[in-house]
Amino acid sequence: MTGPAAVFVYALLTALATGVGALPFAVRRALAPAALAYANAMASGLMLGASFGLVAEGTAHGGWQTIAGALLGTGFMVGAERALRGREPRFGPAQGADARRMLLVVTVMTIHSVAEGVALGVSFGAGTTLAAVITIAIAVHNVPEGLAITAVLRPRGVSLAGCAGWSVVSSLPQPLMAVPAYLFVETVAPALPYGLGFAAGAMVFMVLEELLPEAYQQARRALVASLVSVMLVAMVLFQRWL
Amino acid sequence: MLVNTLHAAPEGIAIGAAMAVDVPFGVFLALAIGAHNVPEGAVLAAILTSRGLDWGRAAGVAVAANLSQILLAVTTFAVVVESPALLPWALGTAAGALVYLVLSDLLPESYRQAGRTSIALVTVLAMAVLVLLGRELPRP
Repeated sequence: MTGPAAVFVYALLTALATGVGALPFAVRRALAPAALAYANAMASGLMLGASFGLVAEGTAHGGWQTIAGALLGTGFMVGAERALRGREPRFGPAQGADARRMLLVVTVMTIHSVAEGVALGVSFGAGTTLAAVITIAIAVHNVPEGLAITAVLRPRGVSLAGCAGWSVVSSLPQPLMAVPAYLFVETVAPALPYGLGFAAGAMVFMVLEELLPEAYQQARRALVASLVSVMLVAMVLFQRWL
Repeated sequence: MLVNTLHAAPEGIAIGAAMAVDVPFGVFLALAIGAHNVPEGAVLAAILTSRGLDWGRAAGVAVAANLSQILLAVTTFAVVVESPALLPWALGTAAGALVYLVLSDLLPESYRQAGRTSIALVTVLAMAVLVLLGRELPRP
């Protein structure tokens, strides 16, 4: 299965993986903060490993273009996070500070998803091996995203189905962005290294700005470092083996 | 100081193994590790001068702490040139140890001292520079 339809289906699968993050809350009301930290550390390793694949593929097509794309991807994430600061919205049953936290977590995840969708689409333009790697990395990364969303929404009175729903909604930009990104690099071939760089830059920045600092806050460094290193090596091995 | 000496070990292995691959790659890695040693030396010197050592001595101690690097670099180079089958092992050991070092020490320390966004930006920029430098290397 290839073409835009395949890209859409894979990106939809990664989006559904976000809903899996709501499942542990079916048996437990709250989750140990360390569990989220371990999940984030594992996702960090996978995403770093996947980014190395993106950079390697990108520099094979053009070094400067890849780096320009990476800086663009980083700039996009910085801009998105700036734009989100200082909002005071209403969300579902809650208002004020609670609502703000809830909306913020869902919006942040949604914006991340835009970059991840672009990454998925672009990697399909570079071949199925890279696409498989990126799909797995993003799907695994989505599970703790769903966990994080549910951890914020559930104690504030949102139903379990609602939490799973919001988790999946936050990842819907993935299928929606993946298809146009794929079609774009397929038609405009010189854009491929820029796109690969963009995806790598956005993912590495996300790991460094969000996932790792949060993991360090909740769990011991040595354990976080080991988890990230092992997952990174696993991802590199996986890319060689495919 | 003991911590610094321990850190210097995988860095020495990395330089030695990279030199055995070819000279430009070795120089490239030596430059990267050299850049990393500057803040390491600064931290150590800050501790030492605050305890009353003059800066010349502090610099001497900082260099001495990293001397194991030279020793290990030369040893690794010699061993790998003798038996090239060990090269991937040496490269892998160095890469694993360096990545772990970044994750267990450098990054958490940096997050404590400065904002996450600036740390993330500086790290991404440094990575970009190294990727570009690595590309410019003449490959055999």
